[in-house]
Amino acid sequence: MIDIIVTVCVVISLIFSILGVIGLFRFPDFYTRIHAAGLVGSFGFLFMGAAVLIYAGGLLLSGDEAWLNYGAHVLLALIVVVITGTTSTHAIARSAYRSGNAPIAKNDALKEDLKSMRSREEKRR
Amino acid sequence: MNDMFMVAAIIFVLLIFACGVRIWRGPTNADRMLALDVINILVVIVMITLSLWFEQPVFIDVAIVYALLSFVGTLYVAKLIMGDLE
Repeated sequence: MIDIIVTVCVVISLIFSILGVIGLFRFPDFYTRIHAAGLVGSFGFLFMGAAVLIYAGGLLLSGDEAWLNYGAHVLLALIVVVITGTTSTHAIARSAYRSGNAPIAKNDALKEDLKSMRSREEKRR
Repeated sequence: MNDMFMVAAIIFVLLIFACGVRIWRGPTNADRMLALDVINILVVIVMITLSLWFEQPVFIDVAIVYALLSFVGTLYVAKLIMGDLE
């Protein structure tokens, strides 16, 4: 039973990671490529972490106490990557927009915001 | 059962090389940094997978430290792209 769940989680993780990397090549724009990169960071990583946790939990239930230590480390790695991955993606997108990387969409709702920010910076100098 | 994790790790390493192609020919610097961010996450996935293959919990500690240090590097390059650093 645990083997089936672990196999399904690993296959889902592989599918989402491969789709994310393909999208990194096929999308036309930087801001659409962020969407593809988010697939790897969220589903690809979380399902692989879940697979490893369930596998270690199965070995723990079979009587080996050392896998409790292992599962705690995997849980810590999951929390760290979930926090830092979202923050770094947001930082890259923000810096790309403010450095003048224009999106491919026709309606750019943030354009006024960028103009007001630039005028504020001019005043400060 | 354990072999499946080794196969998954090999596929993830191939994906890392595929992201390297995007770094090679990204049109802007932001695209290169995004591909490097994906590579960082994939390296953490490979480390966790291989730690189960070798049955060594030390690899996961290395993965945690790698994730935190790559986070600092990503924030620094983001400020560099934005032009805040002179």
